[in-house]
Amino acid sequence: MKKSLLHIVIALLVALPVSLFGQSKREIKSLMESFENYEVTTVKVAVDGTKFVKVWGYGKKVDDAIVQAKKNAVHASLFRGLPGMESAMATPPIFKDPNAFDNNKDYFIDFFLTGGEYIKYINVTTDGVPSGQDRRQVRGGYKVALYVQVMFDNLRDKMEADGLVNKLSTGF
Amino acid sequence: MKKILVILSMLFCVQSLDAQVKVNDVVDDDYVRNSVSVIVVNRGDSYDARIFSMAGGLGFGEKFDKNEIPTDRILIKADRKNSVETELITSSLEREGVGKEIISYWFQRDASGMMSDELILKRGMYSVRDQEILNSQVSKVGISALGEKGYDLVKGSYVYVLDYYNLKENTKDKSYSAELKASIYQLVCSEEVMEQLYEAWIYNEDSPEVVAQKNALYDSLVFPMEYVTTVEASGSSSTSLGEAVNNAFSQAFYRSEKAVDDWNVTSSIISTRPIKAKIGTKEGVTNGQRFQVHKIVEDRHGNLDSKSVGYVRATEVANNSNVATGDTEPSCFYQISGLKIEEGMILKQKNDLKMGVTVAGGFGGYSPFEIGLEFLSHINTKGTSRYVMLDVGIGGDSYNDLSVSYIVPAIGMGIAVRPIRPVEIMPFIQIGMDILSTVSIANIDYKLTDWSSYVGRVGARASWQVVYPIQIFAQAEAAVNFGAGSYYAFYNDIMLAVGKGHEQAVAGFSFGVKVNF
Repeated sequence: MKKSLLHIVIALLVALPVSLFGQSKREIKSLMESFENYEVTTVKVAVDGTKFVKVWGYGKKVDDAIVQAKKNAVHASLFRGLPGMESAMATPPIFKDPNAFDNNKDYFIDFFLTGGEYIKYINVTTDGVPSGQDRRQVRGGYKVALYVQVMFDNLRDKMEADGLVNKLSTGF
Repeated sequence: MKKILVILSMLFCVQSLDAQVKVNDVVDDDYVRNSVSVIVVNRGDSYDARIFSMAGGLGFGEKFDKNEIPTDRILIKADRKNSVETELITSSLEREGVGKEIISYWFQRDASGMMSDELILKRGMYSVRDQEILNSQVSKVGISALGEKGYDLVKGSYVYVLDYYNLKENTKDKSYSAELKASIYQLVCSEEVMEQLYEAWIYNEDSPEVVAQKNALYDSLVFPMEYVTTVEASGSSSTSLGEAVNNAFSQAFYRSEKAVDDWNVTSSIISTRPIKAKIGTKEGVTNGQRFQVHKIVEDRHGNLDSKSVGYVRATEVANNSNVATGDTEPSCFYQISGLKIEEGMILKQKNDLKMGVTVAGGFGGYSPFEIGLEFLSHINTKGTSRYVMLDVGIGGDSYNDLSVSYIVPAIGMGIAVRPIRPVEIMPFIQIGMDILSTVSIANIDYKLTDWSSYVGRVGARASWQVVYPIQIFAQAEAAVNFGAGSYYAFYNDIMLAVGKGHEQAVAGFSFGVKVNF
């Protein structure tokens, strides 16, 4: 009895630091995977300093997919760039270096923590919840599209302030 | 072997085609307002003027914008006994240049050839949805540009051609009837057509020569109308031909909405307790109107399909007849069948008659067998429903050589509550007649009141929805019989004396099935 109690305590001690003080390995893995495959399109030319995109996210539940779509909008602005449209040029990513994420992995894992820093750089303009063909049931969950305004200039300023990207004025 | 392979490959092709069709049929919440022009077919007879004035008062409600074009009637000389052929209507519309009239109306083209996009922008703004308002708030072009949506509305221009025929007007018997063939056409509004139109657009700075050239170009343009479908309907009345014409129109419009997919309103569900969607009076939603709920499913190849989840009925209809602000008041709905409905699923208008047919058999009451018709007159967000009921009970008794039959027609109303969604408990009250007849009736001067008594009936019914639209029910009722006519009393008393016939007060039970449609 004493022995099994000890096992439970040890298991809890192993598990607690991961779940309380950061994302679990599983969560990090799923975060990385979700950044590998998502769609993003520019909706309209946005007001100055921002980008207006439609971005997709996947999740087991609709709410999870919404959270992921928000993260993807910021991820695209930082690392993938935003595609152009009839009346808008394509926007290159804030980070030119394709390894920028891996080089600052700890920083970005914290940055993209659910409800973390990334949320400050987006405004969701979807009316209510994703609906119609923007809310699709797929194998193993949901795929949803959100209309998101990305505070692109503020996001860049943040990266500059945190020393991850050179200031635009550098070199002039 | 080769044959088998060919057959298999053909089957595969057919299946692929079918899959492609499915993708095209995917429901979306992208409904846009349509506009309509009404044209009446004149036959060159005495009814022309009357039918035209009767049809002039017929409305499509708020759901449609009306395109007021000069051609409001076409003359096709033919006997009004039968409907005119569709080809004749089509050629008449071409001859009259109805497509061009519609375009001229949209662009408010005046006698000098000047055009304006004022109406387009106005209708565009009126059709804007909250999502578009929210999108425009973060985009550079802003809200003022939303009116340009009106250009998309031009392609939703329809012509509704009404051909009334086989009119019957018997003022002596107060019997009026009319049949209607309603043909629907849609304006073909391709990019090419619109480009041609813009080439003929006259600007203030254009010289008189340029104006003349542009007007000549406009005159040479053809804006074709495409035949969509035809619906047939009929109407009758005991008061006037006008009412019969109106009834036929109502029936035709109901069928047209079912036949033209683009006329069916779609919207997404924004909340589930209660179910709400941002549609209302502007989309012609009425209490009790039925909508089908769909969810969108994507397979691993990225193909989309929409699957039915269930049905709902509109309950509290919001007055949204104004330009959207981003915070439009939604209407409420009550789920009448199906699986769990979630936010973001799509509602699609799926009109029904809001009626149900009942068939029941029972014991103890006045009629061992009963059929009925019920109309849902109102439903609220908790599912409480008011029904208007029309029942006809049938029964009979015999003793020695005397054989009597009873027919018990009754009208009434019931109020149904739903403790859980599939269960309806409905107290009801009815009043009717108990009509007796025997084989000897032929020899007697017949007067209905002599052969009948009045019946009052109260009861309660518990229904269980087995599978939509079928319900099974059990019913308990108490009925009284009063004011019996002389022959009714005479024959019924004979039956009562031998333990048959209809007692003055009875209690009964019955079991039956109701099918809603």
